[in-house]
Order: sequence, then C-alpha cells, then structure tokens
Amino acid sequence: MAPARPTPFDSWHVAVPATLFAGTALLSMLAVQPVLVALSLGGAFAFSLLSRGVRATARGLAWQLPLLALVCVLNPFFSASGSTLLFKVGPRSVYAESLAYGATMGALLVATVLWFEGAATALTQDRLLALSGRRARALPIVASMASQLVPQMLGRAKTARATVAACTAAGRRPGLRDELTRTSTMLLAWSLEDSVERADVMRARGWESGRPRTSYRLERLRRRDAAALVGIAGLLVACAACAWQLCATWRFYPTMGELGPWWAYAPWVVLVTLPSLEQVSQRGTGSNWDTPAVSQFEPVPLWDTRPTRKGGIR
Amino acid sequence: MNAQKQTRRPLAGLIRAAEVPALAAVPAAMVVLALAGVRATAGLTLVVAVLAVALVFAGFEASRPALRQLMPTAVLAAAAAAGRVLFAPLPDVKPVSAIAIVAGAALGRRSGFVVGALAALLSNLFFGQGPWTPWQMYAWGLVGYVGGVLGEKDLLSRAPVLYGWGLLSGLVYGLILNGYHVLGYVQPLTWPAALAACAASLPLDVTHGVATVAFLAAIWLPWGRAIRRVVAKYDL
Repeated sequence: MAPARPTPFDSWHVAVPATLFAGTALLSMLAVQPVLVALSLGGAFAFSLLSRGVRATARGLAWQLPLLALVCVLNPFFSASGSTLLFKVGPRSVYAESLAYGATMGALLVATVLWFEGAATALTQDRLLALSGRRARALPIVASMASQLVPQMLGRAKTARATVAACTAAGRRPGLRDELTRTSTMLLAWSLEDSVERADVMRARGWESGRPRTSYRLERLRRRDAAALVGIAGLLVACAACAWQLCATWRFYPTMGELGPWWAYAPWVVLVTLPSLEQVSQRGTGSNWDTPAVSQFEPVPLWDTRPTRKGGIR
Repeated sequence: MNAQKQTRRPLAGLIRAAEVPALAAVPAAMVVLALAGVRATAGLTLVVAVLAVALVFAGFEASRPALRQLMPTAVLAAAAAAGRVLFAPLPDVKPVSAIAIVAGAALGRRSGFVVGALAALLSNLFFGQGPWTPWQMYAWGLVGYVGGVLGEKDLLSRAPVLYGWGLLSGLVYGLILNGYHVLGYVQPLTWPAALAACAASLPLDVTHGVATVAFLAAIWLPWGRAIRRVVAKYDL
C-alpha cells in the first residue's frame, strides 16, 4: 500500500521533523509581531502546498480564511483601543491598531493550524510511536489501540443496531433513547471483552515477559540526524533571540512601534522555509535511495494491535 | 485497584503530588498573564496547558498499570471519540464529558484524565488538529480527573453531585475553551469585553452541560455495570 504522496522528512530520523515543527509552531505562537507572523504564515502555506497538495490546502483555506477574518473583526468589537480612528460602527469606534492586532492574531491562528496540519503529514502515527521510546509503554499502547478501535466501533455500531432491529420476535421496538443506550452498552461490553482477550494474546506473544526484548528499530539516529538536530536547535535559539529583540521594540497600542532591522528576520526566514526546502530537495532527487528503507515497507509493529475479526459478526 | 499492584517509587510519588498543582496552574496562568497584559499570552498559556497534560500522562505512566488494566481505558477513550464523531451533526451535544466522568469513577482519576484527553486527540483526527487540541485535551481530561476524585470520595453515588458535576463540566469546558481564545487573542482586554464573550457563549455551554447530564442519566448505570462486570470477571 504505497502512499500517494511521499512522507516529508522521510530520509531523516523522526526526531528531526518533530523538533523542527514543534519549535516553529511554538516560536510562532510566542512571537506576536506582524512581520514574523506573516513570514510564519507564508512558510506554513508553502509547506502545506508542497506536502498536502493544492486541493487539500484550498479545502482548508475555505474555513481558515473566514476564521482569520472573524478573529480580525472580533478584536475591535471587544476592545476599542488605539489612536488612529478608522470609522465608527454605531457606538463602536474602530481603530487601525485594534484591527492590526486582530489581523495579526488571526494570521497567527491560521499559521499554527497550517503548521499542525503540515506536521501531521510528516509525523505519521507509526513514526510517532518510534519517537515515544522504550520507557513510556502504557500511553503509546493505549493511544494506538484506541485510535484503531474508533473505526472498529463505528462499524460495529451499525452491526449491533441492525442485529437488534432484526430481532422482531423480541417484541415492540424500544424508543430511540432506549435503543441508543442499549446499543452503546452492548458495544462497550463487546469491546471490553474483546480487549481483555487481545491483552492475553499480546502477553502470549511476549509482552511484559520481564526481559528486554530485541526489536528491529524502524528509526535509527545516525550521525547526519544528530548534526541536523544540533543545527535546528541552533537555528531555533537564533530565531528566539531575534524574535525577542523584535518583539521588545514592537507594540500595538497606543501607536504601532518600530519594525526593527531587516537582518533580524533572516534566521526566521530560514526556519520557516526549511520544511519546504527539504520537500523540494527530496522531490529533486527523485526516490531517496540512500535511506534505510524506512517507510518503503509497511511498518510492522512488534505486537500487532489491530482488532481481530474473531467475535465479529461480519 | 491500580494502587494495590504498583510498586512505591519516589519519582512516581513526586509526579503524583504535582498533579493537582499543575492542573490548577493552567487557569491561574491564564488569569495572571491576561491581567499583566502579556502579548504572548496565547503561546505561554498553551505551554502551561501542554505541560499539565504531560505531567498527568507521566503520572499515569508511572503508576505502571498492567497490560490488562490498560484495556478498559483504551476502550472508553475510543468510545468517547467515536461518540463525538457520531454526534458531530448536533452542535455541543457530545458524550465525551459523560464518558470521561464514568471512566474516572470506575477506573480512577488518572484513567479518567487519559480517557478525556485521548478522546479529544483521537476525535480531532476526524475534525482537524490545531492549537485547540491541547486545550480540549486539558479540559476534557480535567472533567474526567475531577470525576475520578469525586468517585474516589464516593460522592458520585449521590445523584445531585453526579448531575451537578455533569452540568458544571459543560460550563468549565466552555470557560477554558473560550478563555484561551479571549485571553490569548483579544487585547487590550477589558472586563466588559471578557464578560460579553462569556455571556455570548453561555447558551452553548449550558447546552453542553445539559447534554452531558442527559448522557450521564442514560449510561451511568448500564455502563458502570458493564465495566464493573468485566473488572470483576477478569480480576483487572
């Protein structure tokens, strides 16, 4: 089952994109300065176009742009403040500064959403599990199991309702509320019994046997990954320092402050274009033959937690 | 039941002691940063919320539950996420809070938190992840956590407490989710503006609370019975 679109950052250890995206999203949220926010939005948009495609990005923008406009308009409505009066709506005065703050925050919100969506294309579920390491074992197993149980439950809900509806000999059909309660309780009991059985199967395959097991690591931290991590960390520190300087001289109220020197934006530009550059370079080389065949294969978890078909009516 | 099977370790005790302060730190940070007029309030409060969620997760991890004991938590988290997806056409009618409260009462406060938080994370795979995901994880996790605390004190067997927390949970959830937006994204914030925002969302939050009470009334007995039966049958 080859994915239609290559996974971004496929040739790197998962820690590299995780650090890059977490750092970029966090810095974007902390640095509330119009130019920095605009650059972040531009970078996130470009990466979204490259990694998710034009159609998916456009579909997202259909609700993200109204959201931006809403946040922009809400601010002057809630807080009339500033020095440059633009116009009046009834008793409300709308100031340019207030509108600028709203626009900045709206752009910030959309930029963060786009970074989250972009990160989701690079950090697929199996890669995130590899990132969680060996010390944490309870939560990754709960999260991965629950994520696979959701579609199973949605499917089983139909089966259970159809089965109950088919039992015409059981008397009159109950009302909607009773039927929903009954179906949901049946589903819960069914899934609970199933899950205990699954736990026993996992134990039989060696889970919690008390000895460290050897396992094939899908992700290995190589020297170039470590170098990339150090580089990204340095870049993030430089960006944070520059953003700190820029935000210190910038203010929205009562009048908007100085934008600061142009070179202070340079590390930020590098940071927000880095994901797009990686994507372009990956496409340029065609197939990434030098990678350790990470996601060319279907990743096989050590303990197969996919729901069994045993016990299913289908 | 987890308490009997876990071994005592100092780090686990430390994490457990820090849980309640960490959960309380989130609303405290929201109010303090907003009053101080910090421009990066949106980002800073998000960091605090993420840290609080991570700390309770670490507490769950440190309690070292056995594999079989994890299963009811996973199933209830999946049920809550599936319920949110099924009820998506009705705005603010979602069973997540009710299921988190049932989970907290039946499995303990940390499991209640994990069920609420994972339900938010997993159902957002359908609705879209964003900066609101950590906030939803925190808010629903908190609902389950408080449900667990009330359950441990055996207060949830009284109907007024059960339905009172159900109704209140809708308001708490709304206050957190609106609060992060109003405090983080509107500046300069005045008291009338903050109150106007709360008043505007009040009908939706009350709907959420009433829906939670209705869901609790429907599932409290049968689901509690089903969970207790499996716990007793398999000695979880």
